Amino acid sequence: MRAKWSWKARGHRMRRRRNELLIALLCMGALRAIGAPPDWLQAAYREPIPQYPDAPAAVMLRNEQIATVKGNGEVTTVYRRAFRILRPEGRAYGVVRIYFDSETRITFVKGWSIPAAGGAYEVGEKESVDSILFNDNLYEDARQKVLRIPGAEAGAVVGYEYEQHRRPSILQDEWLFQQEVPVLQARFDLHLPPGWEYGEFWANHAAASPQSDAANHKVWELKEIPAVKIEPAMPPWQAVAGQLFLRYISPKGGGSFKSWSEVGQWYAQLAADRRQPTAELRQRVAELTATSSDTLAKIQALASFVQQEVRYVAVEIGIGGYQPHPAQEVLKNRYGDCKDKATLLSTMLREIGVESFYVLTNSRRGVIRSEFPSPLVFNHAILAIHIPADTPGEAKYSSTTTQPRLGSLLFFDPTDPYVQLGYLPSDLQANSGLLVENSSGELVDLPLSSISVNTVRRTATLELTASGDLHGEVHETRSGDPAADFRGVWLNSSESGRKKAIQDSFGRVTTGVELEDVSVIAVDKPNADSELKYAFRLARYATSAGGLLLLRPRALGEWADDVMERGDRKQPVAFRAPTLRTEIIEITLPEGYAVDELPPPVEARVGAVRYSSKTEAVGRAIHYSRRMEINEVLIPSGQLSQLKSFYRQVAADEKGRVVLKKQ
Amino acid sequence: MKRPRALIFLLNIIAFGTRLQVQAAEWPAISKEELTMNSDPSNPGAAAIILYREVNTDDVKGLETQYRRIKVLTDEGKKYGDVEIPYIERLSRIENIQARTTNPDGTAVNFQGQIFDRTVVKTRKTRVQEKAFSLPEVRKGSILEYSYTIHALEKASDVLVNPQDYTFSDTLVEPSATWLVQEELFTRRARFSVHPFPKVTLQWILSAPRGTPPPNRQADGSTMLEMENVPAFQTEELMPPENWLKSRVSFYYLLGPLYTTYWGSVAGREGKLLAPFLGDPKKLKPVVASIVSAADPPETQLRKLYERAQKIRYLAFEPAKTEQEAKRENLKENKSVEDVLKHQYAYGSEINLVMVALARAAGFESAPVRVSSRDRTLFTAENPTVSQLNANVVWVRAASKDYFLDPATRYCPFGLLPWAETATSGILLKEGPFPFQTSSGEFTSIVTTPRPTSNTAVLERRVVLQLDSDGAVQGSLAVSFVGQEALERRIAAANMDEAGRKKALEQEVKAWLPATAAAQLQGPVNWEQADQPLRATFDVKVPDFAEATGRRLLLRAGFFESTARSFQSPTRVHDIYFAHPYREVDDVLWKLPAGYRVRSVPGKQENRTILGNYVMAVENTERTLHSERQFSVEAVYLPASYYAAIRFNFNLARQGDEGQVVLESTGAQDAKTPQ
Repeated sequence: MRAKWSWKARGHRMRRRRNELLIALLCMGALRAIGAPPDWLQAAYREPIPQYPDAPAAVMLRNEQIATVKGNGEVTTVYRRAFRILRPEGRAYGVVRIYFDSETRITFVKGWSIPAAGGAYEVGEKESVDSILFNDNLYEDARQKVLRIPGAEAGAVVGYEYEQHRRPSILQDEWLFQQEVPVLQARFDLHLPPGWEYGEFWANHAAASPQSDAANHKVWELKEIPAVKIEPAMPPWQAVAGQLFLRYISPKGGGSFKSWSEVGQWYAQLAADRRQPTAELRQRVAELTATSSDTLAKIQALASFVQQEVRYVAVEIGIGGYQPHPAQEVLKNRYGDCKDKATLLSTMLREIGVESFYVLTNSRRGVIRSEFPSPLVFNHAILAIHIPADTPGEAKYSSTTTQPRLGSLLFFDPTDPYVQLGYLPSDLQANSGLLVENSSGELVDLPLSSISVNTVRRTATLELTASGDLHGEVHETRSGDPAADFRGVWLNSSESGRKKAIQDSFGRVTTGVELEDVSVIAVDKPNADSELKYAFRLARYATSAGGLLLLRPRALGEWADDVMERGDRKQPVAFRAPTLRTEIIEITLPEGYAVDELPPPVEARVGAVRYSSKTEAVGRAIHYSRRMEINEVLIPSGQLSQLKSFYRQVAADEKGRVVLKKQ
Repeated sequence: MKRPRALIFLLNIIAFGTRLQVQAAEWPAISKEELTMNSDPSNPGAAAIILYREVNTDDVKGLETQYRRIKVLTDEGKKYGDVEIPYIERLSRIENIQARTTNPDGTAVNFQGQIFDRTVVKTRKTRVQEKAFSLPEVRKGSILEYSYTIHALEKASDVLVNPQDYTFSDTLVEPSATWLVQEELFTRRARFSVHPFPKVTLQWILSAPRGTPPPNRQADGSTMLEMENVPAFQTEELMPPENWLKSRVSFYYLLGPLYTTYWGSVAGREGKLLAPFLGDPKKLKPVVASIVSAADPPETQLRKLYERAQKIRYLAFEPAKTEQEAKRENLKENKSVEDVLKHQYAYGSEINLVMVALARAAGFESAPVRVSSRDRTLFTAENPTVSQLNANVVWVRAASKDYFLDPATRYCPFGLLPWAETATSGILLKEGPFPFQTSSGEFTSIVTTPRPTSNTAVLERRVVLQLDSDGAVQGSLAVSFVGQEALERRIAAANMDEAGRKKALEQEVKAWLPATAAAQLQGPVNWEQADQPLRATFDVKVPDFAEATGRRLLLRAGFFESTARSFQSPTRVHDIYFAHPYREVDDVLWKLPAGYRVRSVPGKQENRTILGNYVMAVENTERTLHSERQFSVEAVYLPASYYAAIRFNFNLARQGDEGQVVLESTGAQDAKTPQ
């Protein structure tokens, strides 16, 4: 189970109960005088709509941002957006959510609609609902303004405009011009003060040249941008959608972050006084490491303390979205968010003579762009722990890299309660992170573990009866990412929930799975592989058919994924982490039956993802073995048809039956 | 009564709080056993356990105090260290928040941190606030305690304070405290007390496991309920509505005449209030005459009136409107049935009132009925809470036959009620005499709507398939959704366009088949013919349906994935609750590939019980196979003791559905399907 983080994320999980209240309140919007829609919306209304073969719910007519930078660095941005709703599903585009906090104030908001039948509507600030973000943070000043635009029916055009004043400390902007629906026209209009310059970076789109009618006025315009639809198992949306990133460069310097080093410097200053040890902290470190014999054992003890004994609680007010709380406060409360936990651990490590560094990252792989240094892109903080040279035992850790200047660094996420020291949570692997040093920073690659680290190994010794019942014992061993996942489920489930999880792992079975003797080993020890053992009985598992007994040797779990069977797909398929799964099942056959036919062996492959299986008759037993290797974290779009074929081969193998004949 | 009764109904009491037995400054002692416990023996693996919970409500002072002691048992249980207390600023105030964490070694840390008071949602008219705080040093094994007081800001109803100033012609029920005593955690001990207004009678309804002692009155006038070992609420598939199922105690004040006539008096009172809206039947006779002929048989007349009522635009079935949209439409309030017929639109239950008025004008006995919607709650006659009656239907008696109708549900054909309004109880909204009798012969306002049978919810699937020698299959599937099955789908699709409806149907068919299947809707679907089954035809294709073993092809005779997927768990806590009885009828004709002959087909399966039936028969004819399947559930509500029996039925159906046909290669040179 993935732990939460606290950085200022743009997407937020909603709590259903409160959202219902929000919708109800939106329907109670007050009456307002109706004004004519602005010219830009009326012009958009007149736009002819192309024919789209996949019947989108709406088309975005305008996606416009007008950014005006003042000499003092304050950025005022006017956002204008218009949609034509093409189908009833597109009604959702009549509900607008605008995120803001104390440093990104909204000073103006208005929405309009022009229904197909004519007669425009207008709503504004007074009809809006202001609410918290309904995420898991205990307290934060980030909020949302929600506006429901009347008349948002199929055929209507809805549009809205709002003005937002942005924090002057970060002179950067982003323009997400690509959307989940097609965009007809997108425009970014930039006004800079005299003497200012800008830098740009285009992500997932070819660079476009701006038009300019004055030295400090630039306009980028794009037309007919295709939709990027949400598809299952796709990479994070921001990692594949077209965006323009801009930095505004003041002649006085500062705030534009031309390099990752500057971003690192900014953060180092922000967190400068947060890692001050106190007597209480020193005492706690001494207590925790009293029985540790070497440096690694001490690191382990401190990491375990912060990971397990400091609860995740996020309190973010103003700059608190970026700045950690002081270490002594986190220790005293025994709670904090990701950057607080990193701060406490770093301070404690220093007390045993081990240096460590903040690593700012994003839990959505692929969102950080090395080409565009920015503090706005992070939503998570972890630590890079410097491992002294020649430390015994260091080699066993998969989350280490060697930096030319700093030597061996061990990346560790103290927020995730289930991923042990030496490993990284899967979504951080093959990701990027900003290594923050005292007065600089460097974007580094976070290591990707190999399949030998993340494994699920299952063996089963089973017996089939003449009536088709199957029973026996199963032994599963997990390491790395699968072990962390298993810990999360197991430790947070009641006994009945645990049994249900095992029963569900059998996939579709005709009768209920009866479990016995369920036991685990080392499930609560993050530093060891977890083991699960159980016995089960499945009545009428094998099917009798005309003197034959049809036995599916793959009795446990389904590895085939139907991700490629859910309609047309364009986006790559992302995997969590490289993983190795193996399974060996031995089924003793009932007396009087002999093998008449066996499923053929299977070898399937797509890119670096491989599957093999083999069914053999060995004496009075069936020996079924299979193996799946996922050696990479992304199947590119060009290999999707091969992936579909691959999963179909796996599914066919899983369905394959041994035909037993009565002698 | 001295004062108008309607006014009294408008006075809602915010009833809160009493003396706190647990004084926050003096936390009750924690036992050694509480400190050292590390699991909940009744629920191994539980994240936490409520060791003690106390709620004291003082209606006189408008106060409620809450106290909780929670033992954290797992890392997940640490989340109980975050406390959020929502409140509405103009209604109440939260005060005196105190908290502490006690570590397993007995050392305690008092909460001295910040209490955040934040606006959760704010509109021009409403503001929902929340007090939030986090306890310090929470870890596995910690004991968390917190208490707070809620002050009600609105004054109590005068009728409760000075009942002697009023005279009552009817029974009057005013709510006091309601406590949900069953939560997501096991509660070891709980104590609830209410300090009531002294001059009125306090009653209660207790919904709790057998053996729970009822609330008892204390010498100081308060009433107290003590409970022990309240299990954590566990959700299960196909269980009764959760809110109804959870243990709770509700207190209420009873004023006026004896309670035994309560529902009768509510029925009469509500019936009287509706009378002006329903109007004089004579005035509607010309309308009725334009709809029905006097020569029509009674049921035909009713059908015609029903059809007329259903033509009225029902605003509740349209997407919610903003005030501007409503203002733009300039929809007027309906003050009578005549208004509804004139405006041709209706709010709330008005379409049903039109039906009542038309039926009465046609000379039938008819009345509106308020029932408990079974998807949300079940009617409890002993509970004098009108809010449990949350749905409306129409009762009509024609030619000595009772009809229960709901024309206000779009697409609901005559003779059918939406499932949640079937087999449920409620009250006729009319003054006596009442047309129904209890088993002891007394006339009563309480009625029960008819229990549905499986005939009113049928799924029929007829498919003709060509099987290929490589295991691929394709063919044509005709589906009929009958009764409830059609109604549910028509309502769900009401606000979709054709593309959305097509996608929804195709996804449903795909879900009946293996993941690799493709299903494409062919031809039109009769979405708007509500009196007909919903019919749709699909082209279906499954590339790898049959398994080729070498010499044989193995395939599931029934084609569709088994729908009998429920009840895999060997144990059950709650009673079993189906929305309605239902039946599935499948007819599958297989055309076999050349070069194969049938080696075996599954034997006929037949299981007929009062709970439901299952029949699966496969017939082998020349070059074809024909399978017929019927699966039905005949029950609505079954005690948990029936679990083994219903599970047996479902297991049998699942096994039958997986029955395999074995085809063997005849060794022919060309085993391809002839084109």
